[in-house]
Order: sequence, then structure tokens, then C-alpha cells
Amino acid sequence: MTVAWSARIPVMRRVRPGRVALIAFVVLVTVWLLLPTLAVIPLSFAGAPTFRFPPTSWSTEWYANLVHDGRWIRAFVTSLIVASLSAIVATVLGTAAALGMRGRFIGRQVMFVLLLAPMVVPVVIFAVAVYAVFLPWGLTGTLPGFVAAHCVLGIPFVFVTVAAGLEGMDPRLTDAAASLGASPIKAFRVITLPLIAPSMLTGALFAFMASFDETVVSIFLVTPARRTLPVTMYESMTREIDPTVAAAATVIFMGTTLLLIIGVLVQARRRTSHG
Amino acid sequence: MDSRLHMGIRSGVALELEALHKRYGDYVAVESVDLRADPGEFLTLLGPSGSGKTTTLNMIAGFVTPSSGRIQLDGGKIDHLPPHKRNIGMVFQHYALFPHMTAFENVAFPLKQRKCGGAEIRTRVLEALELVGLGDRAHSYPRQLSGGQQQRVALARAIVFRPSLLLMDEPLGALDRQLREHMQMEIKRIHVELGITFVYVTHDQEEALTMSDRVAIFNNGRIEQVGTASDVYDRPRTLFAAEFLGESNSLSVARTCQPGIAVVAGLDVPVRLPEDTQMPAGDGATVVIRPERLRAMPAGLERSPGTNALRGVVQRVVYLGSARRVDVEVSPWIHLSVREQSGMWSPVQKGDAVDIGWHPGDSVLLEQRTAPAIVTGAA
Repeated sequence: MTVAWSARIPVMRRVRPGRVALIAFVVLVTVWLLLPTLAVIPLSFAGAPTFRFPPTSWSTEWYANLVHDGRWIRAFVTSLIVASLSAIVATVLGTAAALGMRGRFIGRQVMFVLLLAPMVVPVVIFAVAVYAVFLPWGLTGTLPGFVAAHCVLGIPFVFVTVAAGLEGMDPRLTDAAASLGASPIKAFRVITLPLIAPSMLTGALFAFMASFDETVVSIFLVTPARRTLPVTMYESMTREIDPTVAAAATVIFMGTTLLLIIGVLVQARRRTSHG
Repeated sequence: MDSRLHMGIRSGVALELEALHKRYGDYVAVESVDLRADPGEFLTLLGPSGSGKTTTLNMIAGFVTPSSGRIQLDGGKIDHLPPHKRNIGMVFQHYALFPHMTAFENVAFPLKQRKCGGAEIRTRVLEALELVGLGDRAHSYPRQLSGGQQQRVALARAIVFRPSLLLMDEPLGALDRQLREHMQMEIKRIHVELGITFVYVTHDQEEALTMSDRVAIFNNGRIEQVGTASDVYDRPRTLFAAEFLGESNSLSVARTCQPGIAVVAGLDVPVRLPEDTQMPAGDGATVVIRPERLRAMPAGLERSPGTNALRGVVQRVVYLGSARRVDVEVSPWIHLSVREQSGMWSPVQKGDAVDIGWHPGDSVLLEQRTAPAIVTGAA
């Protein structure tokens, strides 16, 4: 009897009402956040060219449209190239910034604010400024123009994650490598880089996402010959009523979800291997 | 097997520091340090935190650039060399093992930098791990090893490339007491086996006394005294050295016209000093006596001629396990502590009137501190 009682007490504690309420609240918030996004999935399978929800008939017509219409494919490829290049540039620059911001020096606080500014400055203002500068330089509508503008938006993500990664690294590791005969470059390559690589990868993912779904700056930079996916979607929404955009949204939604899951897994693996 | 021959490590070289200074703006971290470690010597830099001992070590390793002064290794200047070209082994306070490498890879790291062949690396790494008693953990990652084992890997990594000088920065600070004492013996053994010069930084005076050939006591960026363990413990040259190493009683004394005799300030009781004592210039001085050199006896017993004696009342008796400490109030401003080894306790108890006696040769006369010293008991 005694054993049975003592064994039951923790079980009773686990189901106390406060906890139930908390779980219910979390579920509610999750649904609230996700449901509108998920609504595009049934829309993309609608049988009629309307945005009526829920759809009354079903088809995969819009997916076929997506694949066959060169406009969507071109936009998707453009976005992929721009996002990849922006992520690479942002990762290199953001990592360099995080490395440079270690230690104390005059103006560090100012530098910090400047590095994070792209996260805070309203995107429209940034977009107008970029447009005003890029137009006379002939950078609008060019690949370098897109990459230059988008990587600025990605740098803060890389900077923040890599700075956090460096924080967790024993600062004497590079000293140890030096005392053992490794030159500064060698020590960076063999010790620092492998240890901050997971942070860099996470930052790169965020930077990729920042570019891939960037709309405002891109609207200013696009030309008929080179448009990114979000801009194409926006135009499709405003000019024609066609669920192809829902199909595109579903594909992007799946892709980004996959990337985020990879990001979370990388973080989790890092935690178990260094914790 | 003679592992020194086996590992082919050449014996240590001399290290010389000349007028070494390090300033950070107005703050002087290290001030005119002159120090020499003989080949194969175990030299300890001892001092409280902020005393400049770690800065000095970092200047030897090359991580901190001296403001002025010279560092010579084996007769050659090394000041201009970056750390990775100095060929000096170093064990860091928190080990600084590479977390993404196994014990084997950590120890192999310095050999890879020196472009050794795979077979040679393998033999030497396993030998080094064997020397520190970790031959069976070669393929463990640092996080899978205990603190003591990580320390051993760090030690193996620092000696595997046969440096002629090994620096150690408070290597045992993070270990618990028992493990620390065991590692002290291990480090000593490895020092004897390798015959290389060790420069060891610690704030633990016991560690310094038990391990070192010589101890350099640091305070406020300067060296207060350098000498063997018994030199600095039995014949401290400054009040700081006396009080930092072990426990000590200090008595303010005034000079008298008789050589070899001083008067306890405020009591007018004469104390005899060691025969060769020179009274320092100035009015006051301090007599320092170790608690274990004092004897407590019930008041009024006849004492042997030629010894010093002060009468007081036992305020407190503190049991310390292997010994006990008897705190005696001689006057409201003079307190003395007597340390009695277990089995040699005097019959005195709390509240008893006692005579505290000591041999004149056991007291050391030192210059008064700048501020008028309030005489206290054990530090």
C-alpha cells in the first residue's frame, strides 16, 4: 500500500490544473500562428481559379502551372542564386565582424549598434536608400545589386549567432594552439573554425532565409528580366486571381520548414557535443 | 626503463628575465622583475591574484609583450619571437584542450605542426599519454574525461614535443584537494623524469613549498623574495613574505641601545633576537615568529634560560585535526597563536594564564610596514 501511494504522488503532481492550462495555451498560440499559413495548402489544390476558402473542388492544376510557366521557374532560380550568394557573403562578413568584435576597444558599442542596424531600420527606408544609391551605379536589376543589398540584411543574423558561438569558446584555445607551434592562421583554421562552424551554418541559414523571402527591397531592384520569387508572387496576387501563387507558397513553406528543421537539428547536435 | 632516455628529451635550459616591466596605461602589472631559472630547475612564481605572476608567465610564453626588459632562453633573446616559434610548453589553468579532438589528437597537435611522420607521431603520443598514466584513454574526447584526466592530457600535450621549458599556470586550481595533492606528486615525478626546466605559477603556498626547488614571491608586480622553500619560509625577508607563506605572528618592537635585544611596543618586555640580527634603520620594526615555534606553558613554571617569554590568557583553542591552535591574548592589542602538533599538546585550556616561550633563533626581525602596524595573531 505504502509503495503504491508514494508511486502515485508524482503522477498526480504532473497533471495539476496549472500545467493543463499552460499546455492548452501553448497549443492555442501555436494554432493561432500556424493556421493562417497552413490555409494556403488547401487553396493550392483548389479546383477553380478563385481564392475561395475552403475550396469546393480539387485539382493539381496550379502545381502543373507552376512547373510549366517559365516565369515561376526563372523567379525561383533567381531567388535561389541570390539567396545562396547573399548567405555566403553575409556569413563571411558576419563571421569576420564577430571575430573582430571580441575583446574591448574604443567604439565597440557604436560598432555593435551599426552591425545590428539592418535588423532595426525599417526595410522601406533601407530599400529607398539602396535604390537611390544603386540606380546611378547601374546596380538595380543586377545579380551583384541583389546580393549586395540582401547580404546586408543577413549580416546581423550571422553576427549574432557566431558571436554567441565564440562566447562559448575558451579564449585560451588559440593561445594553446600557438604555444604548441601553430601559426595564427593555422590556429584559426584548425581550432577556431571547426568550433564555430555550427554557429556559422545556423547564421548562414538565417541569412539565406532573410534573402529568400525578402520582398520590399527586391520590389525596388527588380527589372522585367530579373525578378525574385516573392516579387513574382506579389505581382501575381495583385494583377491576376490565380491559385498558382498558393502552390508556390506551399512549395516555399515546405522548403523553409525543412531548412529550419535542419537548423534546429544542427543546434541540438552542437549542444550535445559541447555541453 | 629510463623514460628520459626513452623519450629522448634533452634536459632543460636556463631562463633569464632582466628588468622586465609591463604597464597597461598607468597601471603597472609587472615592475622590474629579475629572475633566473637554472637548467632543469622547478621554479615557482607565488603570489596573490593581481601580483603579476601570471603576467610574467604570459610574457615568457609570448602572449603578452613586455613594456621593457629582456627575456632570454638558453642564452638567446626570445623577445621578438611570436608564441608559436618559442618552442615552450605551456599548461593552462583550465587545460585549454581542444574540445573537438580526442586525447590522442590533442597530444598529436604539436607534432603535426612540426611535420612529424604518422608512425613517429603515434609512438610519441602514446608514450606521452603513458607517462601521464592515460594510455588507455587515448580515444576519449575531453568532455568524457574527469578534471584530473584532462589535466594529464594537457600535460602530455605540453611535453610531447620536447620543449626545454615548461610553463604551468595554476594547473591544479580547479581540482579538489585530494586529487590536487596526487597531481602535485605526479608533476614532481614527471619533472624529475624529464629533467626540463619548469616555471610554475600558483597562489597556493603549500603547493609552492612542497613542489619547488625555488620559490619567487610576487606582490604588487614585484618580487619580494626568491629562495628555496625553507629559505622563504624560515627566513622571510619582508613582512609580506612572512605573512603570505603560512601563518605567522608579528610583534611590533622598538629598538634598544643593547644589540640583539628589542622591546615589545607598549609592553616594555625585552625580547632576544638571533645573534646576527641587524636592527633596521628607523624606530620600529617587527618580529615575526611562526606559530609552531611558540610553546605555551601554564603561567609561572620555570623556563629555560635565554628564551623569550610573554604572559597572556588563552582566549580560544581551535582543533585542526593534525594539530590545534591556541590563541592567546597578551595585551588588548597583542595576540599570539601557538600551533601544537597532535600528541604534543600542552595542558593549557581556554581561560588559563599561560607563558608563551620561544627560542631567540626562531624569531625574524623585519622592517616595519609603512603604516603603524596593529599587531595581530595568525593571519
